[in-house]
Amino acid sequence: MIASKTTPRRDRWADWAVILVVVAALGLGFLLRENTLYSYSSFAVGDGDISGCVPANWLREYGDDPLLQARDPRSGAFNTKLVLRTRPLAPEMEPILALQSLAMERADAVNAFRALETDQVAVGGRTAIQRTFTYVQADRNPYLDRLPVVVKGVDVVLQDAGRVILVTYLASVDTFDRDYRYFRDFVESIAF
Amino acid sequence: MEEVTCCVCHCPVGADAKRIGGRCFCEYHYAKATQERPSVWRAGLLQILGLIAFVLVVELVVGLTDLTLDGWSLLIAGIVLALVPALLWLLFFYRQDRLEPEPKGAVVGVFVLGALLAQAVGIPLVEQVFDVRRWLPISTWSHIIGSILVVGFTQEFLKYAAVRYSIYPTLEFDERVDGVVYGTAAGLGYATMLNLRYVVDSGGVNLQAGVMRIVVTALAQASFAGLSGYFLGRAKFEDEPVWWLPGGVSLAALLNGLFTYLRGEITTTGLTLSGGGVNPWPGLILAALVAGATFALVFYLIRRANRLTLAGANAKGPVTSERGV
Amino acid sequence: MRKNNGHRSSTRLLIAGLALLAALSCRPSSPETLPTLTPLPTTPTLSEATPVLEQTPEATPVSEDVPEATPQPDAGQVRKNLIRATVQVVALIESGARLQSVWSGSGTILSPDGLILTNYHVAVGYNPGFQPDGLGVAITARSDEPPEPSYFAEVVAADPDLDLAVIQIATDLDGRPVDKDQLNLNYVSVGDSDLLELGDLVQVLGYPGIGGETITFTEGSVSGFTRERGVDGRAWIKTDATIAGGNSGGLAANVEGTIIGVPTQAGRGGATPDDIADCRPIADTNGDGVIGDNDDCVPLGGFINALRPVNLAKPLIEGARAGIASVPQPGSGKAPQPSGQARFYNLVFAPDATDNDQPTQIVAQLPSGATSAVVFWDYEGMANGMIWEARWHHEGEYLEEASRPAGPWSGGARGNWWNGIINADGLPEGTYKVELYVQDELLAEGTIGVGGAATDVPAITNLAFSGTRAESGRPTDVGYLLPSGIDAVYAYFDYDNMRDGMTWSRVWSYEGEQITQDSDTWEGGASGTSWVSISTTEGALSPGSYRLELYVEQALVAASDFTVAGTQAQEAIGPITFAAGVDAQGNPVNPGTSFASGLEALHYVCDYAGMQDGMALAERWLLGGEEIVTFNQTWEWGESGIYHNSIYRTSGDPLVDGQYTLELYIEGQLVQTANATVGSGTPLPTPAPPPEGLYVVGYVYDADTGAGIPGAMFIVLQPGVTIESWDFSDEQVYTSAETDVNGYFELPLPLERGQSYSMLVLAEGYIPDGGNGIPIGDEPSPHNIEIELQRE
Repeated sequence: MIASKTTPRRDRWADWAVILVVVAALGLGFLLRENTLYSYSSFAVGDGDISGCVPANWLREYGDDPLLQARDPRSGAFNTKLVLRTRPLAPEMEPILALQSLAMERADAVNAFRALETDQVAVGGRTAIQRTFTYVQADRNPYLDRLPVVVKGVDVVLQDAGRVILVTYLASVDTFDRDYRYFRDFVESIAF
Repeated sequence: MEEVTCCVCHCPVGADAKRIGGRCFCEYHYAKATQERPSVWRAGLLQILGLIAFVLVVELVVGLTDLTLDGWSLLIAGIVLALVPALLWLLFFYRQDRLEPEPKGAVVGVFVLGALLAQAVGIPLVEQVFDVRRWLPISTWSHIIGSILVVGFTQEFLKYAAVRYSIYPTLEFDERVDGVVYGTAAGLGYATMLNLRYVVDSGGVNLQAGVMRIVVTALAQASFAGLSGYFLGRAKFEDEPVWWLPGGVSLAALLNGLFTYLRGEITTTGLTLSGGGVNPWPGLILAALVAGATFALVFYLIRRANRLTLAGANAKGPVTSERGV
Repeated sequence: MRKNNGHRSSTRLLIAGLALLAALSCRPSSPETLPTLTPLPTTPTLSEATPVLEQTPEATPVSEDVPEATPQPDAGQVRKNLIRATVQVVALIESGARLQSVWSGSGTILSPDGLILTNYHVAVGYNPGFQPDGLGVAITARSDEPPEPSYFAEVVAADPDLDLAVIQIATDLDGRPVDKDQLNLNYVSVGDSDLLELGDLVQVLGYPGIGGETITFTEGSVSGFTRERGVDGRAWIKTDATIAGGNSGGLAANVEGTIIGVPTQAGRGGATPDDIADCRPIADTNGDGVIGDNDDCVPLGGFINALRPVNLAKPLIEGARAGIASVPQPGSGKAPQPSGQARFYNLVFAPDATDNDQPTQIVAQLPSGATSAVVFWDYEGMANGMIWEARWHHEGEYLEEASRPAGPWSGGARGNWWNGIINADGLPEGTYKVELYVQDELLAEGTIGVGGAATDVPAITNLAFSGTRAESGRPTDVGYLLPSGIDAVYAYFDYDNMRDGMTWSRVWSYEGEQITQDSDTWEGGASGTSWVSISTTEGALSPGSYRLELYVEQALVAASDFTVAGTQAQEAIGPITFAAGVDAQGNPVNPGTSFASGLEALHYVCDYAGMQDGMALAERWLLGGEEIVTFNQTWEWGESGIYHNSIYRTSGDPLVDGQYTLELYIEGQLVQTANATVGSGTPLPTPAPPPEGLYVVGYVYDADTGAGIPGAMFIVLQPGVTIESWDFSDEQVYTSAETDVNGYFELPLPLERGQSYSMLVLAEGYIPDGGNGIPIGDEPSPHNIEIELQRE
């Protein structure tokens, strides 16, 4: 004899099993997403004394100034960028001077530059000064029709012996929050 | 002594009641469970052929008349095209299903439920929470595995749920083949909502490219939902192991993901100096083949199960007894 | 049954709930785009006349200065380059707080950092009271659309006599200074206008209308050349290409696509001077609140068929590049008015002009086969800027292709001028008449015939002067500039077809006034060399301008001017000493011939003696052997002293490295030259021609909607790198481009033919597409590629 209650129990288990399996699959899918979007590869610039991690499938350019520029080729009209520079700084100078001169350089090169806020932040155990700013990037190529993009950016100054290391994050305001994580991971990975 | 009831209608039955796979049935429902419903298969076949013909007609008409629509007229044309696969199947199915027809309200209800689940849960989950469009195409690995784990499981689970939590426990679900019927309905509902969103969110799509995508989506979603519907149909009328249903849904999800990936691969022609294009016809052929194969397989499996049942493996089926809880 | 009812009703509730949720999660669909309007109606444009971006089947052959086995550029690419390099120049004045456009013309971009050649009357204008406050530059991106305003430019070199100016792109439309090195504009190489011959093809591009019209293209051929005093070589190129007023300043290119001329002046098509080319008042220049006939008018229409040869612009271009060119300061008030009545007199004809602007000989008839005819005349009461014209006629028919078009006078108040017609195949025989108009008033005319064999009319040629007397032949120091300490001037000449017994006379003049006149009977035989002289009893000849005229049988057969300047002991201008600076006494500071890089200004000093106020002094500077600027001045610094001047860059930057050469001329005679080197001495590099190869442009579309995908990246990897082996480093990328709002992109670097590249297209939300090892073959450039991407 079959109790009419027992078959429902296995059926209930089966129902829960389906839900379990689906949740597990979605969980794995989420892990895959994290792994795909947020995988990093390491770099070393400046004769090897500055190292860190940049997103693995971003375009990377090495040079003298900036030392490293990584940009996301897929992020639409304005490629989200991470930039690494060093500037010499006399030991008795405040690192904020470097921020100011960088802001002036930038203001000269772009339109509608506005510094938004300047704070002290903790980066990887060190304190650093961070400035958030915004500007409008207008493309000057007369042969293409490009809309100007409102860019929001962050400059962080890390102090080192005799120099400062400037880390910059630039993104279109639409993707700034979404890509902020890359910046945080990048800044915290810098070792010198 | 425990009461023996029919597993379907819960009416008491005698100890010599017919059994399938360990479960008891009353006479009426025993006959129903093993009922063949050729209308389903004919409708399915007609659906596949009809959709292919639909694509060809649209391609021909647009190609020959060089039809160009703009703005509202393009949008409305797209919406009409998006609704065609569902209407077509409903038409075929109801036409074919004359003998002891399934209640129309139930089929349409599951269809609507599938569509609503897509709109309310499925699409937001895939597009916003998981933000699939952003990371799926990055690498082949992420493309395949992501299609299976995220897109596949979400879609298949929702379609399964549209059947499982609505019509499955009721009396209307009284045949093995009902799983496929309602699964297909849920799948088409889901597909119709996907297609409508595709047309409306783009503000109107190119009709020739659009009709391809609409038909491929409809065929694919209906096939995989029909597959998980088969698993459901078996599960209601036979004792199946615990992994049967999750296995079925997972299989459907796996096929769904693989299909998505393959379709993307075979429709993208490589880049040359003459341009890089998209050739949608291989995708249509793949979808038609997959739909045909899936339905043929499910058809064969159900028929075999029904034949086996009727051939007499019933009264002496293994008796499962468990401690009552 | 009740349970099932319960199931059914709960199902319905579920459906209703989901429907509500579904409705709430609906997002608005993407905004509907406007339907595209039909394109603006256009004047015949390139897209109708000749395809631009379509693939032309063959390329026209190209020859650089020396024919080499270089790969031929595609005709389509050449044409596209010409279109992009021809810009519209709009003159703007500040009207209240706004900028208002007052006239427009065309210009040609000569270098990727924004140097543009145009006319003086487009960039500056001849009305000192009405000169533009700014110049707008509009660039054509697609030939079927009107040019798009893109930059503001400034005048960096200008020559009102030649009616040429060079402007430099300075700021973008926001007023923000541009980084010249990042501009990377399409440009046209400078050709050699001296290589043109009659019948050669001329392609003219420009913007005839004042607004809203697209670039136009016309073709014609070279129909004639003219020569004139003040210009070395050809003064004007005449063409039969039909072009209108707004084309002035634009591009006239030869068949190879290099610039050979600047459309400058309106011809009048045989009409009388009363038919003025379309000249309209378009601004309230006299401030009476009304735009009407009392305002200055600007020539807008009419036919242009005169081009200024580009070789005349080369000093301006080099000067602009070096930053040293002379820019006449904006005038303050009206144009200088002539003092008294303008007068042209002493009209004579010669077969040619000598290098220092004297008639080779004076004739009344030219033999058949003569290739040029030149008319000389003296003038007074003129002023620079007055509009004058020389109209030549042959057998009563107006020769538009040989006449000098109406233009501004640049000869000063008084002096001697000449104008000539040339025909390399020999002037057709017949009677030629020349009419000289000033301000549309006929001031002088003369006739000369061409035909017959070289006659036996007495001919005196090679008239030259010296302060010394040679025993036989001529002394070695003959010239046209003599030191003032001499007491006698000997004029040497060759003669032919003379006969003993003829009466001949000499007339000497000083500063336009006759000083002596002699007559004699000829005894020198039929041909040979002889001399005449003049001497003074008062010690030394005064410095100034002299003339000798020789008559045979009352007919003028030779004449020449010469100048006396300087002293016996010292040349008019002494050796040049370069220095980095000059102190208050005029002594050089740090003199030398070699200076370090970064020199702010190059100074020089030189002694002078025996000069006369009123003489013409020219300072001609060359950099790396190329003329960059010539300063013309009228001497006003007395008879003797120390002369000092300098050159510097108007931008304030230090002088560029190179070898600087200074030549000083008095009355057209070279008196001193010296060199100085700044920095390493390597000359300024001229921009190289644009690199060869296949230029790729195209669109990236969404396969479903057909709309362009903005922000998609088209990446070309270095040869040998495959998509799979690419590790996203920039070194492995050959070039890349991002699409604009329409999905349009242009690869900045050309792809090398015969190479294979791997390429891929990425866009967020789309399945990427790519191909490894795509070979580049013979596809015509520019190559248009269309790519469809599927949504994920």
